[in-house]
Amino acid sequence: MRVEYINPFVEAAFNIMQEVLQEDVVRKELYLKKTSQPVMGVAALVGLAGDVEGRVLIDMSKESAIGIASAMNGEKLSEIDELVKATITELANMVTGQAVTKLHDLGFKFDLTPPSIITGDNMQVTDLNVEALIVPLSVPQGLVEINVAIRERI
Amino acid sequence: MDNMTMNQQRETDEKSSVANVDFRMVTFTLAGRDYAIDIMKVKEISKDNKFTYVPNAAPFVVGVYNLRGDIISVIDLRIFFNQLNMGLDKSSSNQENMIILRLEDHTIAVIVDTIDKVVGIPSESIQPPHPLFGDINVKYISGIVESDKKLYVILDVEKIFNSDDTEVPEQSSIPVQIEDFAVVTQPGPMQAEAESNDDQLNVQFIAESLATFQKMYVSAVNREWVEERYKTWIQARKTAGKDVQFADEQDALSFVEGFNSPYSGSLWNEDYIQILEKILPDPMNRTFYALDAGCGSGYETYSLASIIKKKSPQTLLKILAYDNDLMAISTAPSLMLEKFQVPEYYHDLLTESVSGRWQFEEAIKNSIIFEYHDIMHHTNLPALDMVVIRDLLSLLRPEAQLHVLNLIVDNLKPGGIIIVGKNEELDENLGFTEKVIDGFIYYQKK
Repeated sequence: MRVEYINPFVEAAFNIMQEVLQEDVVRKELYLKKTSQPVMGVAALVGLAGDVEGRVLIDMSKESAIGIASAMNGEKLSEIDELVKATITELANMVTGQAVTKLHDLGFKFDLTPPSIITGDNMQVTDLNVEALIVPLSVPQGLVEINVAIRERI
Repeated sequence: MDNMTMNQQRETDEKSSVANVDFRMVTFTLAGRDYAIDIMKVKEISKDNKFTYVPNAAPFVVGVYNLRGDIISVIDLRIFFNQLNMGLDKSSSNQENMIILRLEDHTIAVIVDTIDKVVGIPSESIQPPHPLFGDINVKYISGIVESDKKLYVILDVEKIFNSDDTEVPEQSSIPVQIEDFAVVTQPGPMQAEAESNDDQLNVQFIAESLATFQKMYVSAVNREWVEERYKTWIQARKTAGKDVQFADEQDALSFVEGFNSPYSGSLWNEDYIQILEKILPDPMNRTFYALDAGCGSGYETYSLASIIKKKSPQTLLKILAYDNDLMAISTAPSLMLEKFQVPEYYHDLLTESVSGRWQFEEAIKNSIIFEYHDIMHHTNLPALDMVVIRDLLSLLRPEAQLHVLNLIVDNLKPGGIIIVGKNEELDENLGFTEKVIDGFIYYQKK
């Protein structure tokens, strides 16, 4: 993963989470993961194209998703319903949107695909031939992982 | 009478060998060498030069071709295998020789230099590929066969053009086994002198403690240096009245002192630059791909980029620089320098930044892609002209060293250059020739 891409994603994720939750967000150590990795329960997927190819996955447990959606909507939600899914979709849009804007300022052109939400138990995501950068953020509602797998077109 | 039986014998021999011809192959040449493809995979042979160019396709895809209504892709095997026919510069009016292949799930045309003939051979005479034949990656060769005093390399076209990318577990294309390669000198079975036996054991212990403290992993790459270092080490320790073995991490650190190559983690100096200028190919007019594995903060990567750019300003340079240390590499793309600390050689490539400190100019910066990447994960590489991997191998576990060497062997072009650490060496079985210039050792792929 190209070094210039890392900061925009980290900053965007951090800023947006702090903005929408109005609570303390703690950034944990970044790391790289091999191709296959478990998904916690609710994952919002945004595809990237342009100078690069790849995707961003925003991954959290069901409980965290409900907690975050509740905080963002200002009401208590109790299950993964349409509203929770729509809220997490919006969150993914905001994070990737801001990251892509920052990247554009640095001179990299990225296009986004509309986010899709994936929910379920015991899921794995596999990106053949790309490693993923994990940006873990700890929020009061639980752990949110921004999982970025992109590769350069050489 | 005796003669009779011998003649009869010979006849039956000949007959049986004729009867055994159960494998026919179409033979052709690429850059003057003979290759063959199983005839059962060949649909037909054709000549043409009208291909429809496909924008943005890989460089080896010449375009698409209309084969009586079927649109098939055309691949130039010479480019695909980096076997450019240097001598014969053919004019564009010439028709290309195509072999049209019928593969399991699609039809494809490949362009070769010349198509020879059909040769029949008994299939048992096919020998397994040997890595030494490798102008072409061993993975793509199904065998070698001799017929009529010519040696044919039989290509496994299904493997080459297999469309589904289910990754075959990466076979080692290197003949070195991990057992030979890895770790630690084994104590010789029949050591005459007890003392040298002791030494062997000591070296082995030291190798193990180096691994424990994660300072170095001893393998064929650096064994020689470790054994040499041990000799001075034991002297120094005895004089100091200390135990030969390491007491703590500090001891391990002082043991590996002096292992690192000159200008490690800094800009290369004049003497090193002069040597590299000699090693690099003459000024060229094409794309030059280099890999710098373990680039750290990028000082050495910038040095390499500067030298290549100065020697061949026309070249389109791409250096891929990897490191898995996020802190080190995060400053690399916009590395700040103090001009007085930078050797003269680089001065005309620097520009002053707003802060009054100096950076390499855009042209140099744009030729390098710094990636936060773990080389043990999947690594996508183009065909490389050069690899700089100084002192990195010794920091990897032996199996990881082998993985990385495999990666390099698979992706380096024939004739490509590899530079390892000053105190590291590569096994000759890996397919590299050792070269020496002004006492500086580097390797070139055969």
